[in-house]
Amino acid sequence: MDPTKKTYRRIKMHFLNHRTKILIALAAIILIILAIWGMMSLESYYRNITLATMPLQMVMVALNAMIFVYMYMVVLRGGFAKLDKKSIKGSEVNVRFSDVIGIDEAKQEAWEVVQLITDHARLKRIGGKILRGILMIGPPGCGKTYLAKAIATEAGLPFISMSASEFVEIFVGVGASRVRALFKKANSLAYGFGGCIIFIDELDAMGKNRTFNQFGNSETNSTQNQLLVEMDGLGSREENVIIIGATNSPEETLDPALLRPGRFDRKVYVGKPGLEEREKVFQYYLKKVKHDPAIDARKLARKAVEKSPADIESIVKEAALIATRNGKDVVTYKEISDAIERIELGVKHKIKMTPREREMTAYHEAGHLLATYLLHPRKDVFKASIIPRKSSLGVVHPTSREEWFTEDRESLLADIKIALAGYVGEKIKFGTTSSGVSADFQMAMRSAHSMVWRIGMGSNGFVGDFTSIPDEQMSESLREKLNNETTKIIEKCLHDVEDLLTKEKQIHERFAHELLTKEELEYDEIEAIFNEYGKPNPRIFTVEDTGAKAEGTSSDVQSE
Amino acid sequence: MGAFVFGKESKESMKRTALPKIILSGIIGCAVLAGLSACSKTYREDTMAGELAKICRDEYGVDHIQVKIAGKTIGVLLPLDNLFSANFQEALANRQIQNLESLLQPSQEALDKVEDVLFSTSRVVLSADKDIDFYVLQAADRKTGLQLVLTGYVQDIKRVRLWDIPRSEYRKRVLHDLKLNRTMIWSSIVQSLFEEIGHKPAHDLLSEHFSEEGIQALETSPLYQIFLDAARKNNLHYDLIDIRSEASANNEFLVYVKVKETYEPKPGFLASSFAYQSGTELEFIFVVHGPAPNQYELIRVIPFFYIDDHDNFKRIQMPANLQLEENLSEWQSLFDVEDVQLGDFLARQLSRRFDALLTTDERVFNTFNATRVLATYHRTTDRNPAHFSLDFDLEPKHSDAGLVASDWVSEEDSLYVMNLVLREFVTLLRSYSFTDFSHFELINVTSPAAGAILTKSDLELFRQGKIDIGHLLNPVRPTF
Repeated sequence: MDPTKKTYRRIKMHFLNHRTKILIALAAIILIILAIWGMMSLESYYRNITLATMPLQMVMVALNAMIFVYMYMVVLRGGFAKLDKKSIKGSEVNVRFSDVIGIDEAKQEAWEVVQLITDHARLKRIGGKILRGILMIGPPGCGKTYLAKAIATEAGLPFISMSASEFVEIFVGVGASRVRALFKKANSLAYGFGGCIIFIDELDAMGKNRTFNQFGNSETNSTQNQLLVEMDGLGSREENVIIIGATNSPEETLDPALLRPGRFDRKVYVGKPGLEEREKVFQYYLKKVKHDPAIDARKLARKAVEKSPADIESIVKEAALIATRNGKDVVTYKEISDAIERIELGVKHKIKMTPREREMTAYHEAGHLLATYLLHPRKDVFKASIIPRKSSLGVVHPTSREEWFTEDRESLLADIKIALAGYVGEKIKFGTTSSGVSADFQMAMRSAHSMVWRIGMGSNGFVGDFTSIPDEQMSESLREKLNNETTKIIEKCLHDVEDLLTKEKQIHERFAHELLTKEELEYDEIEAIFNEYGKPNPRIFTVEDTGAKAEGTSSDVQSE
Repeated sequence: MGAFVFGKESKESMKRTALPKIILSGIIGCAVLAGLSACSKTYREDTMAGELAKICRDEYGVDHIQVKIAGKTIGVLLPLDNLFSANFQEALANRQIQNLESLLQPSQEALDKVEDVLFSTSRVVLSADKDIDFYVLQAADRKTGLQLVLTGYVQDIKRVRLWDIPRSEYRKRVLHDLKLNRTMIWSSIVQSLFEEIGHKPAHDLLSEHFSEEGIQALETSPLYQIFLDAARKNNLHYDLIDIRSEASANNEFLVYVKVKETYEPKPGFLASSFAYQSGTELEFIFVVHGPAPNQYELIRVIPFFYIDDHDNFKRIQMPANLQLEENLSEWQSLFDVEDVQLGDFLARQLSRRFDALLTTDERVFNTFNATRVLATYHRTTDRNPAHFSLDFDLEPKHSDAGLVASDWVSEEDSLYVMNLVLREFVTLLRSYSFTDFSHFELINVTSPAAGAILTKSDLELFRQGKIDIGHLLNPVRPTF
């Protein structure tokens, strides 16, 4: 675009955007000049009197204005539809692509988007499809907002950020009017700067599947309708306005109309980072705190499986806090480990258990510990504890050696066995059990039920997702057979665990004793005790230096 | 609405923080500009008299006022054709008037003009670069020479406008006097003569204002030349700079006039062809004869100047036998202004207030035949510091001889009177914050030796109610 024309368009845009303010300012200047002129024409005595009373008059006017504004806002409920959103230039957002780490794949896609935005004019010339909406989907804390900022910075366009919840009011029509105001502003900026990016965070707040009933449309419906209309309307205005939506909700929960081509037609999945990405994230955040140079980011990345960049940031910050509290100058591996534990397991409670309760808890957790260590093909015991946390009296915290995106049959069976091991541990030692097993049973039953009913992992040949069959079409015999199979899995697992704990009674007793003595056992201590009994870690993990892939299963599970 | 700006402070946010500063600077700038504009005074000392006359003429249609400034007092002469509503001669002849008060009621027209001039005066005085403390307005009746003199304190104007004192109190603070201005009557024929030159033919002027004898004498006078030249002048105007008068014998009196002639030559006439250039100040003494204003005639004109053979303007000495010049300053002026002092002003105001107070008090009315208390302010002299004196002239009903010395400070009724008077005295002085006096004297005019001298601290104790009038006067004090 011709620079002169561009300047003219920007001046015109500023005038149109701020015409009320400009007119008010002009009026104020004229009034001030008239007032001074009027004052000068007064005789000096009256001028003095006028000046002397002016401060009081100004106070009175200000007071009146405040009362009026208060009355207007509170009594008349005015100003609800006002969109008090200011734009900032992309360059001022100051988040570059190089700052975005841990989501390389999404970054790649986002870069493509930036190219499309910046080449908007060329794209139009050759008749290409104009990009209108980008939807970023992914779990919380993975950097969707950060990525949006980076897009704005790289594209160098004005950036307006809003949360979808800002559109939602109990007054019908207010949200819709805010959407109109937002797009009006964005169009105006796009006119002046050649484009504009609107970022709507938590899009699900206004983009959920619309509901239609006899009571009329809800406020959310009308807000969403307005958004749809405005997104369609962009084409007719020919302005380069791109809407970036971000949500944690699954794609299915969003209204299909939002996702159709021409609206949020480009989807960027921002998932949790892999091992290598986590390592980079750890390195990035560790740079911001004084830390022990011996800390191995790779090791931390392995420990922080399934953690989002936001989780990692939180871990490092928490570690810094712990280090400060402990009077240390630098963050060491221990502080980070404590921080992970605090975030994972919660804060310790000072509940006083009876000796009997404490003992039962120790044998219960020792059961989980043994089963996890000896049976699970993928998980290691990160920590075992009989210190009450959250709602539990004790905990065995398993963690995967690497992230897995599917569960195999062996892994699921191991999960059931681990869940049942607490119950078996109590029963073997005390001949009775406690109510502490309820959550374990719930988990075990849910897994077994899912294996049989949904994912075809029963042993009697029933394959398919039987939950998709409507209740009335499901025969009683089939239901009985499936339930029997579920029970059979539970019984089999229970039997296996009983065998294991009976066989390894000595180790079980040892761990219970250790827990009663120390209250908490770390992974290293656990592994050392097992080694004492000639039980090295049964998982045959061959972790490559890259750490991207882990393979192998335990022989115990293989036998299942 | 959520926060919008990310990361470090952006230029946008800086702009947002700069905006209030710009607005604040603008407001302060305007305030400074307005403040500076208030510093300059509207009227300068050297032009304020002319400005006041101009305001009265242009804005209120009141013409012919004269303004003089003496010290910190501004005087304004307002000549009026009908100051009073009644025609004195007719009213007195027809016996319509039962008392003099009703005879001396100003007409509504006169009151309106007085109010307009007072307001104009206050405008100029309050906005002038010269400190003016007092104004004196002389509203003079052209026919009778009676003039109503209003004397006021400028600070009182400010206070009443700012509601610091009520309007009723303000009225009490303005001094009203009725005086006779003989020069106003005696000079009326001369003033009308100069007002009509150029507007009437010369022979009409002569026949209307001069006696036969006067006309004959005039033919050799420079004034005659003025009458003849008037027909060749445009915008002819005479400013009466000074008018004084003095009685002579046999219904004759002398009127001294100093005028300034301004004009423009009519087309076709050269300025050099006139005997007197525009702006020349001319002085005359007119000898006026007649028993009453409507019968006055000019019988002789004595000019103070002549034109020599070389057309030069020469001032001449007055005839030696008249010996007028040395006495001129003692002649009664049409308009003289004295610089009023606050002490004198307060003393006069106090006298009037005492009078009003005592004549309306029931107990005083029942116990005294006459009460008169005269306040006087004595300025600092070599012998005495500045002080007030209060002359009590009390005539109790039980005695025709006035208040005897023994009753002076003990008689209950006289103490009552003194209590009223002193209370008024102390209240007024405090209201004016007047402290330029060391003491005050109480004088019994019938027994001057029984007077008392009280100090300012006595007065303060009395004001605060810590000492009553009996104790104030009875302790052993220096007497005289």
